[in-house]
Amino acid sequence: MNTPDAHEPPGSDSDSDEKKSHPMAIAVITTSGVFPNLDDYRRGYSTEVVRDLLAAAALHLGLTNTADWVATVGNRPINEAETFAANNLHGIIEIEWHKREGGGGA
Amino acid sequence: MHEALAKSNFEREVANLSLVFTRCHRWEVNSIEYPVVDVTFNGTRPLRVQLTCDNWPELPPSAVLLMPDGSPPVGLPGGVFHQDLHPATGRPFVCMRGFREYHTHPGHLTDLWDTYRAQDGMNVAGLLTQLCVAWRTQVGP
Repeated sequence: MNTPDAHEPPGSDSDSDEKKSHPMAIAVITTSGVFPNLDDYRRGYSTEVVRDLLAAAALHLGLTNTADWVATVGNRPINEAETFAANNLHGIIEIEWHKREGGGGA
Repeated sequence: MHEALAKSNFEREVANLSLVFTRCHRWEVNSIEYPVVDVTFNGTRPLRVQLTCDNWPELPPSAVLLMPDGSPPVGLPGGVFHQDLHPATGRPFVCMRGFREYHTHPGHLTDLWDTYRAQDGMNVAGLLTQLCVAWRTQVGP
């Protein structure tokens, strides 16, 4: 995968360090394809909410019912309602996103 | 279902098992030849799964659980991984919605595959992912 050119979004340098928006390279790897595609990462920012990126991935991949899907990075579940920074995610990341496994027992 | 259509459906499904996808999930693809996908979930305790997808998606796929070397499984951890034998196949089996052995088990005959098969995430890659997550949850990453 190729990483995007990194640059700060306008106005980010006026925020506190914690809230400063840092560039990221993000891929969403799903069971129906990869967002943005198999060869690239999408440019993102640490202050973006994870759910917004997943919504873009769902639209791109034609996913319409992901209410019970879970997102993980390196086997660690992440909070979709929080920003990447709040999830302690920085730099280049690959999000695994898939339907939650079913229970069982015969 | 017509054989050519079933094969076409299978080819479309296995296209989701890209190198990026399998690397990210730490899977080794042993072979893909219609109608069988043969993968190993690497990790603390690897598990090999042969998934037969004949008549996909009219029928749910049938999963055979194996040790990485292809021998029968030993010490399955329970949960959805049953060491006891399925009444139809006579083999250890996966008891999770989406898999043929679940929907044909006497305890789940009323829980129909048709209820699930159109849902996002219930495709071949999705079912394997759910199985892998369940396995690693049980035995470790």
